[in-house]
Amino acid sequence: MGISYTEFAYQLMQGYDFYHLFKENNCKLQMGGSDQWGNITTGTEFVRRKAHGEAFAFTCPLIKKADGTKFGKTEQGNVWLDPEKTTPFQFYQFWLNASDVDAESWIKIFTFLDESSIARLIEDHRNDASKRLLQKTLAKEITLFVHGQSEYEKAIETTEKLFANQSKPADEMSIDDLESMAGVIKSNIEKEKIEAGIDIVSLLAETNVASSKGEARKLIQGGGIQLNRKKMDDIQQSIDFGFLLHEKYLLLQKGKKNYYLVEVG
Amino acid sequence: MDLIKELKWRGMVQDIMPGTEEQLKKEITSGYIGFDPTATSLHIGSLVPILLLVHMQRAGHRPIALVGGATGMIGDPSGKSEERNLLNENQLAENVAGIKAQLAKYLDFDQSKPNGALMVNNYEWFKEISFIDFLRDAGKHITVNYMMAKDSVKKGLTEKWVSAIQNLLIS
Repeated sequence: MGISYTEFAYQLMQGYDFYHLFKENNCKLQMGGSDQWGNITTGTEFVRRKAHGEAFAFTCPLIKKADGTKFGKTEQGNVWLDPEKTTPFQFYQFWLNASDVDAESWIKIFTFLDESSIARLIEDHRNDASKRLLQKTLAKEITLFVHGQSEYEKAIETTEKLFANQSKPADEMSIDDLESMAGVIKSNIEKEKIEAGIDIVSLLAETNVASSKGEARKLIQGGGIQLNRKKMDDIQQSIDFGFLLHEKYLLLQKGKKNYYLVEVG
Repeated sequence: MDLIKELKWRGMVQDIMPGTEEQLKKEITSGYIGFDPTATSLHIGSLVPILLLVHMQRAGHRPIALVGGATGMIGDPSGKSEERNLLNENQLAENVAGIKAQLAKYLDFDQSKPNGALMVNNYEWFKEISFIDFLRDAGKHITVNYMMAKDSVKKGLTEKWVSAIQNLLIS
């Protein structure tokens, strides 16, 4: 019970780091999250007592979300900076989905735009929040910073294909459109099952779009499932070859944001 | 550019030690932030620290990114509510390498500039210090009373007491 001696020693080690950097690199300042204040001041104390020097510090508030949920987590887990772990499209989407309240504070923290530009953006946004100007600017600036121009453009392209073009019938999308939708979750199902005709509930469960048949039924009854951009409202609906796009794909949508490309074969 | 003024309007300053603004106005100042090597990649929780370093550099100061290769072996009691799993050395080395590569993208490490960024790993100095040296040389300067008064330690202690009491009540 209590904390171990090892954990207790952590603050001493972190404090010693500051002393070491002060001595070796003439480093006089430490920054960090506000939860680090205690460890940081142990460091300045170290510098004062051991090197008789003066060291400084400030902390940044921890990022909070207005709805009280944890910042930086999605259904898929952490949002990583590594494009192999979180695609630039998913990264872009994370910021695009910020609430209006969060976007107003995040735009100041996560972009380098100056004070007057941000004040103007916030005002424009408040005049017509439905355009999501703040979220789009935030998502653009931070994606550019983290992933660069070409990845940002790809994320925009994918977003446009998926969201702005929502009225475009799925059967007008080319194979390339479908296959290049980065960030869409890919799944597959055997050809034989479609050949025999599969009910929509089993299809959702087998492709892991729903975690169980029960969940699949609930989703359909709640109006939360679209197949090839058409709402599915009959749990008995049979899916066969006639539904395939380019004879091999099904585009499933769960809720507003989760897209699945199911390959049949 | 006045670093603190810039960060204040952005809502990026919580606590600040007296004299910090004066120090930053007086001379090119080196300032550091520690990054915990708990995975091969940083996540967006680390973006704020990265941005603080970038703001520092833009304001003409020298940013130092410290990767906690040594402290990562110990685990920060304030960081998680449960004691962190101790990472093995190979995993840690892999994580440190991944994080270093990421940080290198965001800062200018050109050492010919007076504010060229630096990257350090505290494993480099801790591996040289013997346990006895550390106790004699470092531990002597800070009292247990001082360390116990920190929120991070209090939080660690309180949470463990609460869970211990809960367990007692359940059994």
